[in-house]
Amino acid sequence: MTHEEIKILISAYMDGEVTPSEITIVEEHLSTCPDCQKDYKMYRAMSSSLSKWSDEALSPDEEIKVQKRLEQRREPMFNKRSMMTLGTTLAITLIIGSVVQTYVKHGIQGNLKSAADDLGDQYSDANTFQRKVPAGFIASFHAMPAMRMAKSVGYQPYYMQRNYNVAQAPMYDMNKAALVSAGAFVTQASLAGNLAEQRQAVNQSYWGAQKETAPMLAQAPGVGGFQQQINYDRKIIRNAQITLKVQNAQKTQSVLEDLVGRHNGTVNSLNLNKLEDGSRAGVMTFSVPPQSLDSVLMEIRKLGEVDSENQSGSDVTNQYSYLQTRITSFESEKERLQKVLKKNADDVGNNLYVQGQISNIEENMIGLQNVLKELDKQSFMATVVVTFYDTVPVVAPKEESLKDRTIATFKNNLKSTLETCYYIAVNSFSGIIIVLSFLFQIGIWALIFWGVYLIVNRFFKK
Amino acid sequence: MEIQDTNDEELILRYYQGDQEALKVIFKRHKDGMFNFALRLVGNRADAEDAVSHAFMMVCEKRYTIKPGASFKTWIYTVARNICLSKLRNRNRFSSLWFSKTDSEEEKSIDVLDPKGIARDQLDQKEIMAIIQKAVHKLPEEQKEALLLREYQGFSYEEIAQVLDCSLDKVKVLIFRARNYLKEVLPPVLLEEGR
Repeated sequence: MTHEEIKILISAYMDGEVTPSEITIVEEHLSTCPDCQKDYKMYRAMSSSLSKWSDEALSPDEEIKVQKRLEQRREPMFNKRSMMTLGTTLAITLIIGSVVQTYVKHGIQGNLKSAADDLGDQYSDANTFQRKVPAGFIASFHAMPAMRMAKSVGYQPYYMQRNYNVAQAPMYDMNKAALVSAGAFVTQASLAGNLAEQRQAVNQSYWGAQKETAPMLAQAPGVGGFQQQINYDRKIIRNAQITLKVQNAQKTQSVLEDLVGRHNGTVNSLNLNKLEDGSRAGVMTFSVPPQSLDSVLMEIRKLGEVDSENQSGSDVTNQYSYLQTRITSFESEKERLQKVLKKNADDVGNNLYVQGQISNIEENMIGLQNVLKELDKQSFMATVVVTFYDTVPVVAPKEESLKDRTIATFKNNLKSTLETCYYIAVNSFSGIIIVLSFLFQIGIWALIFWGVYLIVNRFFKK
Repeated sequence: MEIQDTNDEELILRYYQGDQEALKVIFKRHKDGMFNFALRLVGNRADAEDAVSHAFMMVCEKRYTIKPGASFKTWIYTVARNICLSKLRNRNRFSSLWFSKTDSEEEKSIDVLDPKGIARDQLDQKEIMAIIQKAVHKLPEEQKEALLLREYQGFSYEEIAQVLDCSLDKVKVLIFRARNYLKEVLPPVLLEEGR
C-alpha cells in the first residue's frame, strides 16, 4: 500500500469508514509517521472549524409558500404511471376487441352456433316473443332463435320472399332461406298489436304459406319437424310470380306450355316480343292445380336464372263458409215464403208482395253463388305469372386493322390517364379536407380537455 | 407508532395511499438539511429554496418509486443536487456569455488572504465563516458535494456514493482530496486542535 493510499485511509479512518483490517494498518502507520499524525490532527481540527459554517433555516415565508404549493399539487393527470395504465388498457381492449370481432364473425358462420342456441332458449319465452323486435335484427342475427321461438308458441312461417334461386342454391343457402323466412315471420307477427291479432294474422294465411314453405324447410338441414300435414279441405287462393333470365326465350315458351299441359293446367295468356337489341322477352300467365304449384315452380326455376320470385296465398275458407251460410239462409227464407204463398193463394195483393220478396232473394242467391263459384275457381287453380327474357346474342367483333387498334388503344389509354389524374386531384383534395377536419377535431378535443384540466386544477383541488 | 417516529419509506407509502400528513412530516424532517446542502452548493438562498421546493414537487408527482432497499433520503438529496447542478450550469453559461473569463471577486479575495499571517485572535466568527465558505467554494464540484454531505449532513460514505452515483472508493478519494486542499488554503489557526 502506498503512502498516498494510507493517507486516503486516514481521512476515512477519521470518519469511521474503514474496515477492521484497515484500522490496524492506519493505526500502525500513524504510530510511526509524524507527517500523517499531523495530517490526522489537522483533519480533526478542520472538521471542527468547518462546523463554524453554521446552518441557516428556510425562511418562514418560503416554507409556507412551499408547503402551500405542495398541498395544491396533486398527482398530474398524465404521469408516467397513468400513461402506462392507459396504454396497457387500450392495447388489451384492442386485442380483446379484435378477438371478439373475429369470433363473432365466425359465429355468424356457425362457429358460435352453441351460443346462438343458448340465445334461442332465451327467446323461446312467449313473453319475449310479444315484444316488438326490429326486423333486420332478428332476420340477420337471430333467425335460428326466432324460428325456435315461433315453434315454441305454435306458429309456423307464413310469409316468404326470395330474391335468389333457391332451387339451385346449395343446402346451407336453403337453410338460410328457411331461417330468413322464419325471421320475417316472427317480425311480422311481432309487429302485430297483441297475441290474439298475431294468431289471427298467422291463421289467415297459415295453410297456403305452410304448403309453400314446408318442402323447403323440410329440406333445410337442422330445421326438421316443420313439415305439417296439409289440409286440402280449406279454400286457399294461391298466386306466384317469377322472373327468369333464360338462354332462349322461344324455347322457354315451348317448355312452359308443355309444363302446363303435364300438370293439367291452362294457359291464360301469353306474350312474346322481340326487342330492339335483338333479345326477346315474354310473359305467360297460366293456372295449375294448387297441389301442383310447388313442383311447377321447382321446374320453372331450373329453366334459367331466377331474378325474383314472389308467392302469396290467402285463405278464403271463412269467406267461403260465410257465403254458403248466407245462401242456405236465403234458401230457407225462400222455402218459407213459398209456403206462405201456397197458404194464402187467394190473397192477390199479398201474393204479389211475397213473389217480389222471393225474386229479390233469388237474385241475391245468384249473386252469392257467382261469388262462390269464382272463389271455387280461384282456389281450385293457382295462378302463375312467368316473365322470361333472354340476352342479346354475342356478335363476333369486326376485324380491325393495326392502325385502328393502335388509335383505339391510344384513345383508351389517354382516357384512362385523364380519368386517373382527375381522380387523384379530387381524392387529394378530399384527403386534405379529411385530414384538416380530423386535425380540427383533435384540436377541439385537445382544447376541451385542456380547459377541463385547468378548471379541475384550479377549482377542485385544495 | 407515532407518525414522527415512522421512517421515510413508510411515510412515503402512506402519502401515496392518500395520507397528506405524511408528506408534511417528511418535508419538516428534511427541509432544513436539504436547504443548507443546496445553499452551500449554489451559494444563494433563492436558488436553494427553489431546489428544495422542486425536489418536493417531484415527491408529489410520485416520481419516487418505492423499492425494497431504496433510501428516500439519498433519492431526494440526489434530486436536489441535480437541480443545484443545473442552476450552476445555467449560471456559468450566462456569465460566460456576458463576461470575460476572469477570476471572480471571491477568488481574488481568497487569494489576497494570507493564511499564514493571520493570528488566532484576529478572527471572529463571521470571518471564519467567510474564509471557510470561500475555501469550500473553490473546491471542484464533486469534492465539494462529497465534503458537504459528509461534514454537514452526516451522510455515510455509502450514502454519498448513492447520491453522487459513484463507487465507495471514489468517495474516499474525493473527501481526502477536498480535505487536503482545505489543509493548504485554510489559515493554520483553523487547523489547530482546541480552537
